[in-house]
Amino acid sequence: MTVGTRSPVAADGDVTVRRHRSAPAKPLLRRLGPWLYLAPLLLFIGVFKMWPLIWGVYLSFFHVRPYLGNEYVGTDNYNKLFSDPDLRSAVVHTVFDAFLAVAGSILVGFGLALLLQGPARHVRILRTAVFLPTVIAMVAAAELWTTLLYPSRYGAVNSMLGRVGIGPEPFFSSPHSSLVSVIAMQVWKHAPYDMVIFVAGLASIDREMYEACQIDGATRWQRLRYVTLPSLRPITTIVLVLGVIRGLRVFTDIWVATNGGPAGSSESVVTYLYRQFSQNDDTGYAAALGTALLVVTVVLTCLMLLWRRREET
Amino acid sequence: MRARTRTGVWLLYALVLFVFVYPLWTLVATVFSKRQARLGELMTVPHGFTGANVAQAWHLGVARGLVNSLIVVAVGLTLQLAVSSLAAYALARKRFTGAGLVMLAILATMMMPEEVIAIPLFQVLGKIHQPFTGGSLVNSYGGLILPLVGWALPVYVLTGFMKRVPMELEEAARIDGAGDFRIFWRIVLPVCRPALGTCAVFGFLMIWDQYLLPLLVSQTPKMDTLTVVVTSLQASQEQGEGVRLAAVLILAVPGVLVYLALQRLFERGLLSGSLKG
Amino acid sequence: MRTATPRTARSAAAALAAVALLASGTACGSSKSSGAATSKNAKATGTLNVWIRGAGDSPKAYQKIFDAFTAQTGIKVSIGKATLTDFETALTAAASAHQLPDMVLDDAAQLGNFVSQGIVLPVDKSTFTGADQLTDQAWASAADLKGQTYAVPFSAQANVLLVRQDWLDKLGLQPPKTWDDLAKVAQAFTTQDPDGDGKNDTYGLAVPGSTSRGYTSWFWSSFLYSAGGDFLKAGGGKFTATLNSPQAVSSAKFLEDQVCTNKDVQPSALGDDTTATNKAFQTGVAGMYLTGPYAYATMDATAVKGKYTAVAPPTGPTGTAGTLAEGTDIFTMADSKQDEVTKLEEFMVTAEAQKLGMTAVPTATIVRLPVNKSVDAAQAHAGDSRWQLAQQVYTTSGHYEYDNAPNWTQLRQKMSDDLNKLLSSCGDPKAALDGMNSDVSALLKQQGVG
Repeated sequence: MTVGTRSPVAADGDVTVRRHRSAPAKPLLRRLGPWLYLAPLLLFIGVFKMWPLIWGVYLSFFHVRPYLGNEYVGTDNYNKLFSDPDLRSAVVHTVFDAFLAVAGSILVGFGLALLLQGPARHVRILRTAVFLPTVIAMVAAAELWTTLLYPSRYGAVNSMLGRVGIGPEPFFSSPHSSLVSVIAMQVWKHAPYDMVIFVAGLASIDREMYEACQIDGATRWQRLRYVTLPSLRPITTIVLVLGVIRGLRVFTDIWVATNGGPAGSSESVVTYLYRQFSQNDDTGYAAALGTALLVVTVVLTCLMLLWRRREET
Repeated sequence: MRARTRTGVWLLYALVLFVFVYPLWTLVATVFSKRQARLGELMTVPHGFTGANVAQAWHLGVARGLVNSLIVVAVGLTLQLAVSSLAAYALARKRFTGAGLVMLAILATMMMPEEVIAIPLFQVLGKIHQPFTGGSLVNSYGGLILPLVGWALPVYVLTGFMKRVPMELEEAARIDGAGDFRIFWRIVLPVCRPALGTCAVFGFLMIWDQYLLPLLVSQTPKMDTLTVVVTSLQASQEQGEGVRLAAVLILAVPGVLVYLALQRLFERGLLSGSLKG
Repeated sequence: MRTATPRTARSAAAALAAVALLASGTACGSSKSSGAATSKNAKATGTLNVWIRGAGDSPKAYQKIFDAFTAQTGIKVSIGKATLTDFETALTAAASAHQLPDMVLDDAAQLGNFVSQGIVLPVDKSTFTGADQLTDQAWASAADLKGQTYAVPFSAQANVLLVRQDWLDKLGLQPPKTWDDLAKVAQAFTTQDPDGDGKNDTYGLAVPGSTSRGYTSWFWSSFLYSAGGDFLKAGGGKFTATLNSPQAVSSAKFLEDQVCTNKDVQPSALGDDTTATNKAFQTGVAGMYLTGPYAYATMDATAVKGKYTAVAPPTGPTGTAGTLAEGTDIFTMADSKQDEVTKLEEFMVTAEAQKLGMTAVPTATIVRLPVNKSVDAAQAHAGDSRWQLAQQVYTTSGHYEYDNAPNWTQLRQKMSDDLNKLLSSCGDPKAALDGMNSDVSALLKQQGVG
């Protein structure tokens, strides 16, 4: 941060200074300098993110019929948001899923980090192996899990359960267990990622604090409770909050594994949004839903930033 | 006492491997097993060895999908890293009015669920015309790649990392008469290799994982990416489980390879605290 | 530092130029009207772009028909999107960007949907060559509420019951003729180890009970019809839901009994789509399967070949025979090259093309039952009597769904959700169907036909 202030181009921002000491042509270029570096990114974001975003907000005020002409409906699509029972249950599922999956990943990730921290060779190899679920494509993971949890006695998990006399459990194919199964899959996929973050966090804890503990004769549990956990608190909250915000947009996992079913029992907000578009041909309503989701995400993120700032000061 | 804890730890290692790695292994074993798997079955060891499942999947569009996915990820990732590091250089090393606004705009795109803008994005793609062919971006590599280039994560990671590169390095080069872009290219970028490694792994996964965009953009089997091929193979009825799982395996392998290849850089990038940025 | 800045600008400008080239032309595209989209097609090379809801070998079978058409007329045809997963998602997206193909082959059930979106063009039966060759039953399924035809039927089918003959023989049973028989055989298949492997791993009935694409309701419909019930009642351009009739309730109860009380359906039933259910029958998980005759080809390509028999679906408690009839329709999309598309459609319903569709690719019977009166299904299949059965079931007891409702798929989805909930919670069928009836009534109102 302090480095930045010494940047040679820093003075360019100050228009009055510049005028006094340079010829008129060069400063323009100089002032443009940073923007030329930014231009490609801004162009891509502008065309492929902002334009669709604004277009989506615009569509949310219409009954969209590409071949019959769009019909302006005012805020009808938004009013519908508040009286749609299917949406309400999708919101419940999404929040439930976001919190449980993130909390589960953090817990499992933290446990893995405690077990697999450190520079020893065998631990590093284990870390690499355990990280693999994170780097396979979500579509592949979902397809693998539908096989793992296949609800016949030959399904991989069910055949194991069968050996101890349980099941076969329906997992993805029962409304009672579909969402929980999705969460298990997400924890499997995300926990190793959290593990890496916690391993980094653990490595950054001051060794001296541990040593001080040892001298004081603290038990392993006390060390964990009074040194490790407090040190990891900031990083954990960030992982938690970002994870929940990301969890609100869960789509591919559910779309591929359960398609939101059975009977809408694992429908998330975004899969519901997609159903409005692809099955009910209600692009306008889908756009309104998307806009609302965006607003919620923005508000949550701003709250988080504010809160983080206050924590820091 | 000590021995008992050690056994306990090794048991825990075994449990961890069983949960996180064994399922991936069974996928491999089942795909190469000569005896066809029953519905939902995954094998611990292959029953006889055969490459037939992979070969059959290969001919059922997986080859084409793999080529397309590789093209998309190669071009897309290159562009993504180029565009992000250029922007990060400006954001980290320059002071100018509007920098805060730019950061905010980038943050906004980070919060925007891709799935939410996919439909309007698709309509936008239909309106953009390519310079040479005159066709729209729908059903073209441009449509599959360009929307993925602007991504907030690498911009953040690289900006955070570049801020930590000592200014003295740059000043020394400047005294030697190096230009701005030269400094970026020769001095700053090489120092950022760990961060670039991290971004490459995440960028690869982000692009490789794309499902909805290629599903909408590709309108001929020729343009299908691997994710689209894999999900549509699931729905076709003539193939056995082995063929479907072979396609899943082929979809899973490149991510693993990229991770293993870049693992050193990736972990260093993470450990150097770029994710706190 | 002074010398540095222009270089900065130059090199960054070069990078910018490269990117601009890649993404150029963003400004020249303006919001397109449908007129502009037509000119897009005019610019194309004259190749017809056809999308097919189908996967695996089906596109190959279509290709054979298209090749024959090209040989005859010189008009080129290329297959665009061909998939079973998310086909309509892609199609709706294409419509929203005015990027529709010229022709689409999809389930007849999409008809009302396409019509109400305005993405299909009507078919003029009076000028359609060979219109009189097609069966009235098929044509009727391609008309909207007001009787205007919006599609050309290409293939038809009605559900039949596939039963494992070897399992019947082992247990000394006869193929079921009534619901009661069905329940008994299903029970025996579940409990008496018909495959003789000493494991309790078989089930009576293969049920595609997934809610995706509305399969639960789709499967239920054959029972609904054979109970003497129906989904809706049509009249005066309006529909009334009839889902809480005693007949409907009895059919839902029968299914619920199989799932909840007798537990003689495959355990994954409520999450299985037809693909997964096909596999359950193919691999000996379940011994009976109510499905379309297209499954003959699918099944005969697997180990279950020769081990099963096809019979008419079981009759309901009052002896009523009724089963679900379905079709594949050819849709002429808005903005298409209509004259060429019509030529292709006319070709696709000729006896020649219909026979190709039945037999050209043995693993994909894209024409199940011919819509052309002059083609005999059993004969085309080298005297396979199973096709005679299919033909007879279709003609005598086949009921189409209400494909002409403005959005039948939406209704079917709702009914599937409700029915799936009933089957998974094992609740009271009467209460569930009352709920379904009011859900469907509300949707019908919303669609403007309630």
